[in-house]
Amino acid sequence: MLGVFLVVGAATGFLLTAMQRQVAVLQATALEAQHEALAEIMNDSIKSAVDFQIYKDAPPSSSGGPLAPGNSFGDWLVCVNQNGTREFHFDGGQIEYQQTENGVVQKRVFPGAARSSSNDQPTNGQPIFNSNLGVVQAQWDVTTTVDQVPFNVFGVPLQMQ
Amino acid sequence: MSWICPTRIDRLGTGGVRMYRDCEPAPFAHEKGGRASSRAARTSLTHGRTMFSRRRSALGFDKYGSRGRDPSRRFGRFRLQSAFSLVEVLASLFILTLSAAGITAAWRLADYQELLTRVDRRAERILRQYYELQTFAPPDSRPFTINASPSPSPVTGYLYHPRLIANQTGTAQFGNEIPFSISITNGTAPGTSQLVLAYTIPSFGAQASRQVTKTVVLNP
Repeated sequence: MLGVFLVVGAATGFLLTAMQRQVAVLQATALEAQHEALAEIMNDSIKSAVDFQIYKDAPPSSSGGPLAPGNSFGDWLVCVNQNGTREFHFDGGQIEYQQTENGVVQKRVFPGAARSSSNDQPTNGQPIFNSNLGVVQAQWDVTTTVDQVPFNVFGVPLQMQ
Repeated sequence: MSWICPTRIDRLGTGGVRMYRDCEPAPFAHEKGGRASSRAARTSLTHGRTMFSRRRSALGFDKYGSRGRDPSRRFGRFRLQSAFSLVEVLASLFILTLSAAGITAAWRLADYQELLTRVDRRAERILRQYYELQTFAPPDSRPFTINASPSPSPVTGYLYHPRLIANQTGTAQFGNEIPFSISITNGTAPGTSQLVLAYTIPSFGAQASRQVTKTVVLNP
C-alpha cells in the first residue's frame, strides 16, 4: 500500500512538473505569436503609409492634416494610410497599438517587450523605432518564460520605394 | 515470501515461550490455552456468543463494548495490511523508475518538437525580413549585392536564445543556439537570384542533426 502511494505520488509530481513546464512553453509560444502579429501589422502599416513620422515624445494632434515633423528615432511611430491612422508606442514594458478608422479607435496592448539588446551589451535606452539607412526600422526583444525572441521590422513606405 | 516486520516474543502462562511475527494477527484470549475458554468454545449454546466476542475482539472492542487499550487486540487484524513485502518495494521502485524515465522522455520529446516549430517560424520570419530589406531598401542599404564579385559574406545569427540557469556563462542571461546563415545565390537569368537561409537542427536521441534550407526568389 505504501509502495502504491509512493509510486502514485512520485508520478503525480512528475506529471505536475511536466505540465507546469508545458504551460510555460505554451505561454512563451503565445506571447511570441502575439508579437509576430504585431510585427506583421507594423510592417503593413509602414509599407502602406502615405505619411509617417517617428517621435521621441507623444505626437501632437494632427487633426486630419499632415503629421508634424518628427525625429529620426524614438518610441512613437505614427503611420497614416488610406484607411486611417495607426500609432505604435513603446512605454518601457509593452507596445501599445492604436488604430483609428472613421473615428473608431481600437487599441491593443502587447506586453513583454523590451528594448533590443545583444547578450553582452545591454542597450542604454535605445529607442525601438528609427529610420537609419533610409529604411523605417523597429527592433525590440520579447522575453518569455523560456527564452528571448528578437523582433526586427524593416519597412519602406510607398512614397520611398 | 519474506515479510518486512519485526518479531515479537510472548511469554506463555505455562512457562513456555512462543515467538511469532508482529504482522501476524494476535491470538485471541481463548486461543491462548485457557481451559475454560476452550470449553466455552466447544459448547454449542455459547458458540454464537464466542464468535461474537471474537468479532468484537477483532474490531478492538472489549467485552463491555468499548475499545480496549491493548494495541495487539485493537490492530491485530490490520497489521497484516500495513506490512509490505520486499517484492512489493522492489516492484514499486521499478515502476517508479519506469514512470520517471517515460515521463522525462515524453517531456523532452514535446520540448524538442515545440522548439522545432518555433525555430521554423523564426527562420521564415527572418527570411521575410531580409527579403523586404533586399527588395525595397535603397541599393546602398541592402544586405547583399547581386552579381557582386567576390560574393558577399553571409549574414549570420542565432535562432534560439534560451534563458540560462543562474548565469551559466558570465553575466549573459540568454544563450545563443541554433546558428543560421543567410546568403544570396546569383542566377544567370534575371529574376532567378534567391536568398537562402540555412540552419542546423540539433540531434535528439536517435535522430541525427540535419540541415534545413529555406529559399525565397528575389524580384528582378
